[in-house]
Amino acid sequence: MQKRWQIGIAVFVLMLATVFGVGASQLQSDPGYAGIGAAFVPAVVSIFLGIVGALLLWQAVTGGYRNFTDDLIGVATDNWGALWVTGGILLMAALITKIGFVLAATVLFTFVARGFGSKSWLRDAITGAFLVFPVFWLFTLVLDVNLPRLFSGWL
Amino acid sequence: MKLMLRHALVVLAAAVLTAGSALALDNLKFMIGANPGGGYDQTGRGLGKAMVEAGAARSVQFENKGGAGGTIGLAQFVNSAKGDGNSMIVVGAVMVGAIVQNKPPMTLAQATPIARLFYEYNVFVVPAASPIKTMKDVVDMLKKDPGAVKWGGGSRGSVDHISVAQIAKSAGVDPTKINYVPFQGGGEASAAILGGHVTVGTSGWNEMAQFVKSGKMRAIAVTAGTRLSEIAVPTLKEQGINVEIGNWRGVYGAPGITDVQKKALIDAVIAATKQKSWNDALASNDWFPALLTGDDFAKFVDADHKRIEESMRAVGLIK
Amino acid sequence: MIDTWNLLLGGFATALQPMNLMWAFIGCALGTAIGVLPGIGPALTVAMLLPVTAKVDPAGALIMLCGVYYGAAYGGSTTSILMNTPGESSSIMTALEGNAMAKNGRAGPALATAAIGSFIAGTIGVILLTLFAPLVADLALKFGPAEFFSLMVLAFVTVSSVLGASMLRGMVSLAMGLAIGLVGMDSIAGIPRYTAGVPELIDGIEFVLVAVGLFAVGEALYSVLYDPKGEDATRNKLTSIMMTKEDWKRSWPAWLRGTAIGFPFGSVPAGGAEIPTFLSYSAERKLSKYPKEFSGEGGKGAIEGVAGPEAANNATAAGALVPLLTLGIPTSATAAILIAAFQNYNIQPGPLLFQTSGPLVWGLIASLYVGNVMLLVLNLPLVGLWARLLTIPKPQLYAGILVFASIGVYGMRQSAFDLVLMYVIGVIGVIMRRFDFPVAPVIVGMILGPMSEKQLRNALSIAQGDWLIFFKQPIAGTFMVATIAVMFVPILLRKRGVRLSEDD
Repeated sequence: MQKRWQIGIAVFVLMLATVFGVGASQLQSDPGYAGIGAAFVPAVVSIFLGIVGALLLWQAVTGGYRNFTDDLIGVATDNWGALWVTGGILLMAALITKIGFVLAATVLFTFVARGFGSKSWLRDAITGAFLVFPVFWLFTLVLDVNLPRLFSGWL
Repeated sequence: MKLMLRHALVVLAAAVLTAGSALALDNLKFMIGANPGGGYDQTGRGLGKAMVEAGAARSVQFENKGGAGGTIGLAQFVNSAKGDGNSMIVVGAVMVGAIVQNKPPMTLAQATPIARLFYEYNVFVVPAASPIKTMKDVVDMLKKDPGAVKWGGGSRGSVDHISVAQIAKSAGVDPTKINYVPFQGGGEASAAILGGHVTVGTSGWNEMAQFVKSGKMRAIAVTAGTRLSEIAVPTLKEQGINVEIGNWRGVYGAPGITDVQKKALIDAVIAATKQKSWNDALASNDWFPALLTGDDFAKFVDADHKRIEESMRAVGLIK
Repeated sequence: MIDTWNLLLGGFATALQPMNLMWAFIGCALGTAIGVLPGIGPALTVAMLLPVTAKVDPAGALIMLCGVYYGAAYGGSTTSILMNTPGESSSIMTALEGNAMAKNGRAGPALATAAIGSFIAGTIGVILLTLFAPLVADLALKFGPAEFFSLMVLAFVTVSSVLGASMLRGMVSLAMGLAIGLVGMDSIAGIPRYTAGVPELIDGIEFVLVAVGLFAVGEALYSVLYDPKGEDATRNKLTSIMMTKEDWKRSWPAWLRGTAIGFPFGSVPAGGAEIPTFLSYSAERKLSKYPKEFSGEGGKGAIEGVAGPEAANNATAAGALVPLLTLGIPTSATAAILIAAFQNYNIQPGPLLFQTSGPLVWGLIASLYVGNVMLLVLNLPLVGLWARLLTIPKPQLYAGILVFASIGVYGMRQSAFDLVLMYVIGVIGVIMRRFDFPVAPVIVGMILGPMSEKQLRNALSIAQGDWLIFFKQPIAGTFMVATIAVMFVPILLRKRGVRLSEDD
């Protein structure tokens, strides 16, 4: 499991290097007097990515990453909590233009608190709303950033 | 500086509505395709202020999105303002030039022409300590070794860039051989000129005027066709270089707005140009008024687009 | 000198008028507030306040706007330390050590050293501004593209100090940051790169989005996945609020070094506030007598790693006023807006400013001294309050952090898509944490990459393709030599049997 992940990350970096390398080779611009054009730095970066990716892969297959001890062996993963947090963020993204900024942020607060094990969702919702209100007012009234509102105004 | 560009800057004019104009636009949004402080920015802010004073808009809000000759701001504007009759973007020759050269996915053709506002002329400057006294000195250097003359100015494809290419062409030097160094924003360019990192700099007169007046820079030429009474600097033509180029600015509305919305915006702009604050802004920035609205403006932009395209092709900036 | 003194006294007469004191206070308070919120910076705030100030007299308005500018530099450290959420690029380094300290119950001293360091750096900065502004401005103009690029090379090399336990994994992070920085319109040639035709990507990827995603969201997700019940109970324990004698002893030199690094770099055009904080952090890390305490070494957070960068950040803010006032050249987004503010009153910052608007400028400079004191008085009592925030139970604390993160990210572009992107980056952050990839180099790469590429290409264009330009010009050459020294001196020392630090 550990090894597969480590190899996977290294392969991802190498893929990134390839994508950026191919992209760089397709960029066309007149280098002019500088002697280097728009593709030069991208090429350097993709080579850099390739080198570190290759070294990472080498480390992964020859006994794992160096200077790395997995201190999470035996630690239980709380997937449910993470799901609540994920749900909170995605729900906020989905709802913000529909139920307004304050309510969406309150939903986020309640969900995240639930994910971390809080049981009293009503208290969390109220706390969240009280936290969001002043920020909302600062943004909309003082600074006039346009945030989505509910009931065309105060929420 | 890319980071700076990334900072979107929004301004609210919490304005007191003077009269109960029924046609007043509610919270008008201006997109400015340049960083705060430069000419585009002053145009947008000046116009917005005048629109509020004229009672043509209840309040105005500005968003700065600089980079790539304003096409980055244009792309965002075309994407996000679709059908919004309460938003405008500041445009100009710089943006048209950038569109011609960079061929961005979003062009002015997708937005709605509202009005041209004024012309502005560029000035060529050298640091006070430079041995260069006239444009002829520069041309002589250019003929000897084109790479040795480092021209500092705005982004590629800008009026700054084209004017330099045209000067080279008129002097019989291959315009593709010019050594043009693009800077982002007037601040970085003026610092590079003051510090002597480039041989000659070019930018709008109003951005350079303070340095010329204080004696830190010497103006060697302006790009106007005839000598301007306001600017005591010889034109390029006076110095035997047959180049005349102006930098116009105007405003466009969002894509897909109705004719009624378009007319409301045109009326608001016309009302604003009659305000004292706008005329003061024109005078203090050495902007030369040239109001042109609606379809006439659209024709003008098309013609300018072709003209810039031709001159860019002629000077080898595009294929 | 006597002249300067008299002019400054005149300035204080302006700045200390009750109305102007009030404007300074409002500016400082507002600046601190927006500095605390991620995603909303001083440039935005000053820009938004511009029209509001139209009815105020020039002196009062400019004093207030400068208060916002200064206050924001103060407040930026707070969220970095408490929530590991750097809202400004210049507070990333603060987050590294400051948050480690906070997690180990030392939020109080971290916040205090940031506030006091900001005060000291800010005040020294203003003194330098008062005495040497024209001189510094002339020096700053010597910086062209070649000089900037050399400076950035030095910054790149010193970045190794934030790479963490493994040099290789740090490099991977840095490379990823550089790659992300490439996305968007190339500012020199004006062609899009790696945008895949997506217009949203033409602007490049917003730094705050990546920082908040990697730092705050990544940490929250990691914590809920592997440590939901709060095994790291130390987070809720406050061992001290005040700085100990030891803290003071270690902070002092860091403050002064930070100021020395920050002020000059603030005054060079196109410098920005990030590089000085990077350099200061590296300097502190290299010079510290307690290298094991740095978070990169798995330590509990070293106070000099907060003191130095915070001082550098505020000294940069003061330094940026030098070219602004003497040349009319903005060196940051906020400075550009301040110029617009001056122009609102038909005052043109620049060579003629001191002659045309002397009393106003001196009033403004005097108000900077006043503002610094005000900010200290405002912020020090808040330290205890802020630090106590961390005693909030974990569910509500993380919920609050994520709410603030989302507000910041959403407030930038009002895009729900950005919130989803923030989450995806957060997941990447979890994987990076899990396999011990440091996250700071990603941000460093994102910031330094595009800046240095632009300067490199312009410098080479000016030098007509001569790469040796970076060694031929005295200032650029000095930075290059310093870079080489930083790279090779440790290797030489190691060869002679002196071990500084271990890597793989």
